[in-house]
Amino acid sequence: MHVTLWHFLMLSAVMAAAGVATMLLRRNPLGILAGIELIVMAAMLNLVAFQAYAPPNPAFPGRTAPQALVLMIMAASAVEAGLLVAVLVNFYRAFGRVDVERARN
Amino acid sequence: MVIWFYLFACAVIAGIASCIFARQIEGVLLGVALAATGVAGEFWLLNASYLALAQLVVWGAILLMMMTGMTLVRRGARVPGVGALEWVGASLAAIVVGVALVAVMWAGPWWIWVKAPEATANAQSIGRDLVSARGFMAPLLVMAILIATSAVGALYLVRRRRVVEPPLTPAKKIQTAPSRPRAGGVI
Repeated sequence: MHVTLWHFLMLSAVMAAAGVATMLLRRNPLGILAGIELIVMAAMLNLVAFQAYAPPNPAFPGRTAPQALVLMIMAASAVEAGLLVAVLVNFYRAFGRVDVERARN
Repeated sequence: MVIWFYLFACAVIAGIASCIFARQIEGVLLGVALAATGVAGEFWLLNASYLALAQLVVWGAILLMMMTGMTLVRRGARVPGVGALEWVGASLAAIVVGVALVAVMWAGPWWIWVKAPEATANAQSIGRDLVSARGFMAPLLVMAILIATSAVGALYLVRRRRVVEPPLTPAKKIQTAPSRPRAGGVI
C-alpha cells in the first residue's frame, strides 16, 4: 500500500474543517488564532502535496515554487501571530480581560 | 512510508482533538503545536525536509510568543523584576535549545545507522539538505528577518507606555424617579 495524494488531501481537509470548528467554538482570541493557524497549515500541506505528486514538467525542472510559497506563508503566519498577541496584551491592559464577546461592546 | 504517514497523521488528529476539546487555553496551544509537528513530519515525507525544519522553528517561536503573551495578560503571573529583555532573551535561548534538540533527534539515526532504514531512505538529514540546497537560504533569511522585525514590533507595542483607559465596569444603575404614591394612599 502506497501513500497517495488522496491521503494528504484527506488529512488537510480534516485539518481545515477542524480549524473552522475551533474558530467557531472558542471564545478566547488565542483559541481563534489556533483555528486560523490550523487552516493555514492545511493549505500549506495541500501546496506541498500537489507539488510532490505533480507530473514532471520539462519547463520547470525544479518545481520548487510551491515550497517557496509555503515558506512565505509560514513567515506571514508567524508575523500575524506576533502582532495578534501584542494587540491582545494591549487589549487586556485597557479592558482587564480578553473575550471576543466583550470586545464587541 | 505508510506507517510514517499514519504516525504523523495521528499526531495531527490528536492535536486537532486537543484544540477542539481542551478546556484550558494551554491545551489548545499545545494541540496546535502537536498538529504543527505532525504537519512537519508530513513535509518530511514529501521530500521537503527544510520546510519541516522551518515549520518546527516557526511554530516553536509562535508557541513561545503565545505563551509569553498569555503570561503577560494573566494577573500576578509575571515574575517581578523580570523585564521584557529577559523575556526575549529567554525565548531566544529556548528556541536555540529547541532547534539543537530537533537537529540531534533528526540527524541521530543517520549517525547511528550507516544505512538509513527503508522507510526513510528517500529523506536526508536536515542539516545536509540545508547545506546542499544553497538556493533556499535566501527565503530562510527573509523569513528570519520578517520574524525578527515582527518580534521587535510586538515588543514595542507591548512595552509602549500610554494612558490606559479604566477597565470596563458594569453599567451604572439608572436612577429613576421614585414612584409617586397614589392619591388615595395605601390600599
